[in-house]
Amino acid sequence: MAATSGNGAERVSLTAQSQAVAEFIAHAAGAKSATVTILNRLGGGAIQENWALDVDVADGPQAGHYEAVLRSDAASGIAESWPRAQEYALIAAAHAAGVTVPQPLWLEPSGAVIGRPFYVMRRAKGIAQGRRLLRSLEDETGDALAQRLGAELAKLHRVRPETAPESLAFLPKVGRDLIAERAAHYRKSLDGLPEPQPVLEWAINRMEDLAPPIETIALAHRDFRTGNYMADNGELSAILDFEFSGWSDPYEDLGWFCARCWRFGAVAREAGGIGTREAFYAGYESGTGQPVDDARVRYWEAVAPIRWAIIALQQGERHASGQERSLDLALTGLRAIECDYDLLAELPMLKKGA
Amino acid sequence: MLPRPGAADLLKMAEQGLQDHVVGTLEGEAKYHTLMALRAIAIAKTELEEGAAADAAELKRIQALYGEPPETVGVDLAAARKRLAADIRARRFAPGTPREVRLLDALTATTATRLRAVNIKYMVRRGRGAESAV
Repeated sequence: MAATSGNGAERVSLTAQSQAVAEFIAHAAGAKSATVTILNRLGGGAIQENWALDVDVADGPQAGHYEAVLRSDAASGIAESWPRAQEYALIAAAHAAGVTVPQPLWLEPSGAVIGRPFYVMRRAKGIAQGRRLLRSLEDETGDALAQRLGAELAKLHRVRPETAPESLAFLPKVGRDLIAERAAHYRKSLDGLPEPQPVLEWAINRMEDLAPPIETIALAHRDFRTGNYMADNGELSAILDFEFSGWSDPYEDLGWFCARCWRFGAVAREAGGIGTREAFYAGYESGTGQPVDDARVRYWEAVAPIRWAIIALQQGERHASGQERSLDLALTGLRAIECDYDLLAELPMLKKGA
Repeated sequence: MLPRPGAADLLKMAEQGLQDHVVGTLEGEAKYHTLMALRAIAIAKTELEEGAAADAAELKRIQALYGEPPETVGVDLAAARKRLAADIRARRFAPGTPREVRLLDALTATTATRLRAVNIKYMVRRGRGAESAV
């Protein structure tokens, strides 16, 4: 999502709450005391607010200095996005699976401390913002990063429903009829929007008609793309934003990463605008030991703009409905037109079983 | 409502003023917000200048899809769009048929008009792919 920034009042309010946050952390860390210094609000959260802070836990089992991020709900959200407690469980599961994510530290799910739920995680160094990241990468560095991201994704996809930790029991179960369920969900989402969407209606039909059989269900990030990871001097430092994660066909993540709408204008670098498709696939194959089924990636890639369009329209509606007035959200809503255009260009070419 | 110069011209002048005298002096968050405002102005300007004609053309395209007298399809664009979306969902434009080809032609023309107004660079990068695909 495009970066958002808070207004002055919000900054003051969290700074004023630093003592309450410190007391919560001390309690959660089993310490007598902790100090918290709120540094600044970070960009990159259209749904959440992210704040940089330094934490010093004085004593106890987690004593030490932490460069951290506090992530809380923003004023309004969209239906598909998990609340913070669930997102914390997802990051913890990814962390346990060896995925490079910020170490989750402390969760405050009740909203009693700062007026909304939040959690604290380690702060990763580097750049997340898509266009800035693309500008900073040479071709070789980009390929290496794409390969690394493929390998990381393979680690996440080793988390399966049958062996998942109890903390992920909240995730809705999905089966082999995943695509039909997804189509029904998208249509319901469209019904919740004020304007009809003929292109999306057509694309959803195509998505159903061309669906490949689903062979595997795994924990999918479901927003795995450039902009949702951080890289420091071209090296991956953290995968972020598990707010949409859930059980799915793992190929959904590969297709989402390669989708044209997430290449930030660098359309020739098919893997996230940063590297070659081959490098990304090679990284994934190194983690799974299996060849990537290119046709499945292409299917999820071609239908990716449906989901992005619906999310963009919902973001625009957060503004238009008056729920959260923001020019950034209003312009995000218009990005659905780019998705419509991509769908009309790509989907007629996609064949059944392609 | 207003005498000359009118809304579109006022927006044009506001846009030019920001571009010529403000953007170059800014950086960081202030520049980001100003560029976002400039984008909004550009889109609003196009909507003021071309929106009514584009809506009329879209309505005509939808009416033509049904092969019925325009008044039976409806003369209200919002209602026509709603009917079209419902008929697509009900699969009244079967894949691979001439009816679907005509539908895609109409949807592509409407989408291309909209995209030209909001992000013509996106179309440039695409090489007008959607329009040539149908």
